[in-house]
Amino acid sequence: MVNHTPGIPSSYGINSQSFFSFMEPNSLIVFVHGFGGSALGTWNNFSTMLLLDPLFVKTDILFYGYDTLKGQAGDHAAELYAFLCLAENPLASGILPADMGLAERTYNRIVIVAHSLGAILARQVLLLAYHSGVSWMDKTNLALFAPAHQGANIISLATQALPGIMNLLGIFVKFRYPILSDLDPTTPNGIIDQIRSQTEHLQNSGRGEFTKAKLVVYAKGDKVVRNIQYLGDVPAKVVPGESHIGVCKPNDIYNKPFELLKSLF
Amino acid sequence: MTSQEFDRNLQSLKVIYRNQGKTNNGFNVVQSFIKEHNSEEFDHLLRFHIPKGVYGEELIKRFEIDALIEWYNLLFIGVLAGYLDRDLDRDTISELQLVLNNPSIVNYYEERYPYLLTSFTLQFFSTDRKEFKIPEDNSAAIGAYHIFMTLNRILREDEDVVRFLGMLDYVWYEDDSQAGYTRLNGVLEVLGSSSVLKEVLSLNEKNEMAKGVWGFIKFVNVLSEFRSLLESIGNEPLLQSAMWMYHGYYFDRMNAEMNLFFDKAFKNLGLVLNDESLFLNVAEGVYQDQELPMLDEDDLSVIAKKATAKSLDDVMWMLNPNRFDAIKNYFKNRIYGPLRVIAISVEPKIQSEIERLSRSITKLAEEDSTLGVELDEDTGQIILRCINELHLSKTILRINHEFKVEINTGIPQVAYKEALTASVLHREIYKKQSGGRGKFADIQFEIGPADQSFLSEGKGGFQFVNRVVGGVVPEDFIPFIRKGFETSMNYGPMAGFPLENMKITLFGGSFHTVESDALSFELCAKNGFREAVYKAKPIILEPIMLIEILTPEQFFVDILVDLNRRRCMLQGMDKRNNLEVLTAYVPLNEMLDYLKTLHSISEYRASYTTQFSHYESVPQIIQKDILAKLKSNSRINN
Repeated sequence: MVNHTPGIPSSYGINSQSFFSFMEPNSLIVFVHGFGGSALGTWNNFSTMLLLDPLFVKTDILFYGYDTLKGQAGDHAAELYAFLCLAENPLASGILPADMGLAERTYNRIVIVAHSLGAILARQVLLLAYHSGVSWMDKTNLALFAPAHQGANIISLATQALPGIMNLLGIFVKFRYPILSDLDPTTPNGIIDQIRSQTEHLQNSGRGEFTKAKLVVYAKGDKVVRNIQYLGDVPAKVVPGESHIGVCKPNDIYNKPFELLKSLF
Repeated sequence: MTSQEFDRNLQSLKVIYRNQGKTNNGFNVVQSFIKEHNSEEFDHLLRFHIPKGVYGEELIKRFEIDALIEWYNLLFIGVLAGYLDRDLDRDTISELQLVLNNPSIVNYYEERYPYLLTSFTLQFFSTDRKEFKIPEDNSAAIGAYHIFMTLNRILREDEDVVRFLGMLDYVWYEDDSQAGYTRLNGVLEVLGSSSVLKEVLSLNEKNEMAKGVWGFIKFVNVLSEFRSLLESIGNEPLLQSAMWMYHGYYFDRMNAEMNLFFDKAFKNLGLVLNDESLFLNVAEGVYQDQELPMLDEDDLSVIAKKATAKSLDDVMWMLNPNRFDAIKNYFKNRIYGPLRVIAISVEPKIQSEIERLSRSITKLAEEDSTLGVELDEDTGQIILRCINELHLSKTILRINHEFKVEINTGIPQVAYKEALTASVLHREIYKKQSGGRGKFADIQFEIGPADQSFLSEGKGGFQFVNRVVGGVVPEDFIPFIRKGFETSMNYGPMAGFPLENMKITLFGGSFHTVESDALSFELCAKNGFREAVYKAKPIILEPIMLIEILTPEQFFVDILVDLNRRRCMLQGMDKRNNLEVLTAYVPLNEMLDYLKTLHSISEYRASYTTQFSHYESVPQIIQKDILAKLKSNSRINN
């Protein structure tokens, strides 16, 4: 019933972790958190549920982390892109240690699961992949929880995404979060605008199938992001009784996020 | 989980945690000291360093040895989570025993920097583990183990947290800005003043002090996550408490150094968080020259208050050392269980006092780890198990006088055992035909005492050797035959006392393709035991105590004469501070009234101490007495 390695730490990002299947995998899932989140913490029981579900025995699972209090969204997207290029062949790139005795992977499918700000990173990564002509772009799907790809109410985000005492203090000590400016829908010519116009162009010209999210989930009445249809994405699923932060955190009682992700497989 | 899967999990863990970095270096350090027989230097390396600091190479080596010790604890927790097999491969166990039994390392984790989980890890992997039930298919436990490892890694990789934990661990850091060294009390001073706290947290470049303060705040955040993790495995108390104890050293240190301080620290954190400029700072940073959005400072204040209150609650929850006693109790019973050689039943004189009696005994057991407490489910009486008759008297006295509960006590019961002294062959056939499908099982075995070489391996008292060849008894039934014999050992043939050890060699038998099943073979083994065990010449064993008596010279002879009546074996005579010292082995059964007698002979001037030494066979004539006494007490079924 345990079909994956323990979490293997990665030198890419912050506290990124990889769980590799002991079997020959055909899929890769990459989780990308949002503002104030962390590689695994954002996703609560997702890791356990995936690792123990027979559906994912042949799936490698990567949780990517980055420091949302430093750098711009564009910086993190570029680093995530570089990471994914390496993650496509994890053995060769050393993300999967050779001592594990596992074979190199050949993925038929890559799913990027992103939350909030992570959705901006994920979309930007796909555009970078398109411009670079990498092979994995066409087999990549997006699954987005409370995506902030149309901007966010950053004050609400700062207070909702940073519930802990440490992060409240983070605000106090005058950290400047350039990334919050990236999320501000009123910032002209920001990354949000850029992504949208490029995505729209690709979709209109029939080359943007890969940019259409296959799963979009919002918390009903989310106070941080607005549920507005994003170009050719699938219509959003709405989950009542959850918050912007809680919508992607499955637990024993609330397993909707996990069930929705399973529906993609 | 199959053994192949267990092995795969272990090998993966080794790749990540053991075979590289600090842990691997730690093992190399230990190995080099052992190879060079340089115990003095090794002991010095692992010294308790206060009042001087440890720096440079020495500090690195100590951290590496810490990582190695933590690795072994991680293995133990992996077993408790059901992620690893209780029987790791021989190399891993040998390495673990080599390292954790090293005298310098034992002093390090037992005396100088007490880290109790390590003692438990060593005990667990050095003694019989067959009784230990691995949680099967418990996804919550395995999931928790994954998260536990991740949280540990975050703790180890965050520079601020590492600084703070280092300070807790008596490490101090050079701090240029302070022209001195930053220690834990420096961090406490900062947390003790809201204005200084605000100043330190506002520093653009963190100095060592600020790192320590940030480390505390981040550690508090991790404690909240730990709490959620531990709460998620409430039905696995051993795992829960072992995970807690993995960081128990730091929790103990926090309790010792900071507990009285938390209210003040969190109050100050609350004050800092409620500062009016808080939201404004964020907004200015984000919006710069643009018009500011509406701010709701009241909302923020509520959030801040909730965050500090929750954090304080989580810290207090996590630092409660009694919350996770399960593993301590587990090992307490493993360690002291075999030493508790005398038992007595107690009940309150007035039935309405039963609750007070229970509370008193619970309190006693908390204070006295050698005391065993059980509830006799048949009679509803409480059974106290003690390590000697003095311990028993003292316990009864405390219940009466200290807790002021009047009690009735039963007759003290000595924990006898039984043993086999000969090996015999036996064939047992179990056959039943009562309409429908019949039952059939046939086994041939030898029964006798376990081999000394087996007993010295510390694998317990039941030795089972399977010499069945050619499939005459199918492999699937063997575990049930084993179980049948093993459970039979709990009731010896003489008087129903447990058998100290036994060897079963299964060498033959037969089965029926339709009528044989697991239960038939288990029952066949039980019947076979009952039939054969009498031929294996069973005897009764009794606990022998080593006693030391100190007496003025004038009572010496009388005491010796009395001891001889008690079947004593004199071991030595000596003098200490003008008193005669007498040591002897005496059967516990002969010691039950000894305190009174000694006081009477010596006019209350002699004293004695006693401890369990070993079990020995009871002489035939005494054995008859014991059996007769037991028979009259209906201990033996006719």
